[in-house]
Amino acid sequence: MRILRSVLIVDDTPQLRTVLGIALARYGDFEVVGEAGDGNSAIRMARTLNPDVILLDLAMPGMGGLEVLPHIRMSLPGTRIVVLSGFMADAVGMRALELGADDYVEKGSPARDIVARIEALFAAGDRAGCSARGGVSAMTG
Amino acid sequence: MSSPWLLDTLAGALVAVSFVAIGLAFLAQMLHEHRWTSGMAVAAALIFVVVGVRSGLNTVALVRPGPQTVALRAAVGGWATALDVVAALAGLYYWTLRSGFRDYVRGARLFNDLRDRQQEAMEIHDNVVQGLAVAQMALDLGEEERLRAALDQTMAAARDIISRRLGSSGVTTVDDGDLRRRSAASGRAPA
Repeated sequence: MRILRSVLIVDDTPQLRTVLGIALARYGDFEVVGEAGDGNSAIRMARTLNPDVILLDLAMPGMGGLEVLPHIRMSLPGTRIVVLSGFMADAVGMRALELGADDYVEKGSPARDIVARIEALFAAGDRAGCSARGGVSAMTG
Repeated sequence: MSSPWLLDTLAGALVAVSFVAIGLAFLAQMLHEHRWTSGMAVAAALIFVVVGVRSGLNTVALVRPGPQTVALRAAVGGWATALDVVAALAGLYYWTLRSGFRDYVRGARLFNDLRDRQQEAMEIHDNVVQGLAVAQMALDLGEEERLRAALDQTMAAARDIISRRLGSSGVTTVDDGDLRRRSAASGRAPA
């Protein structure tokens, strides 16, 4: 049976959320359970939906991604957070990882590669010090 | 002029008025925009105010009746007067330019500080990089309609940014030579 991992997409560009959703469904076993267009909505939806993966943009209205990261990481220690940003990794990638992101992917990367990077996080096992939840733990064990 | 001190007094008064006004215009704009972080603009404003006040005090000393005034007037002339005249003309020239390049010379914006650059970078990121990212992903996915829509929107956004940048720099007309580039567009990503 195919188990789909739940994804919350956080980006203030609706068109990008749409194509990301298509790519996740086409190239991976993911299901988009929510979309947020700003930082405050992202925190609220993350706590409500408790997704397996959060794709997080950095430049957004209200709270930026770097401000959102610690809040989500504190609430959801087992959730994979992948920052997907238009800024070059050299500029803010390390800071994003310090604040709790699991990976940093530059926008403009091929759709397959982005999905593969997310899959790789699950293939690597549970987040350090955290037990995976629900269907995810059964798959990644 | 037979009395250099008269010319010096006139020039000094113009320097005082125009320079203090320039400094106060900078400070007023910074106050309006809450842009005190631009240390360079604050320093420039203070320089203009201090130089203007100093010139005003000299002018007052030249016209104030008193026993030392005659000796002071006699000492005026030569290079000092010439420099005062140049400074006065520069002050007047600034105010004529300011009316033509109103937005560009607004207070702290005269100095394209770090915050300005960050805001410009963010605008390009939000309007161009995001659009191209959508286009690239749509291309990967074979979503031709979304690809075309993303490219159209990005092109429109880029044109809008360029138009506003040119407008804010005071450029309202384009002369034939303005479109000459230093080198041909390579179409390659910058190194």
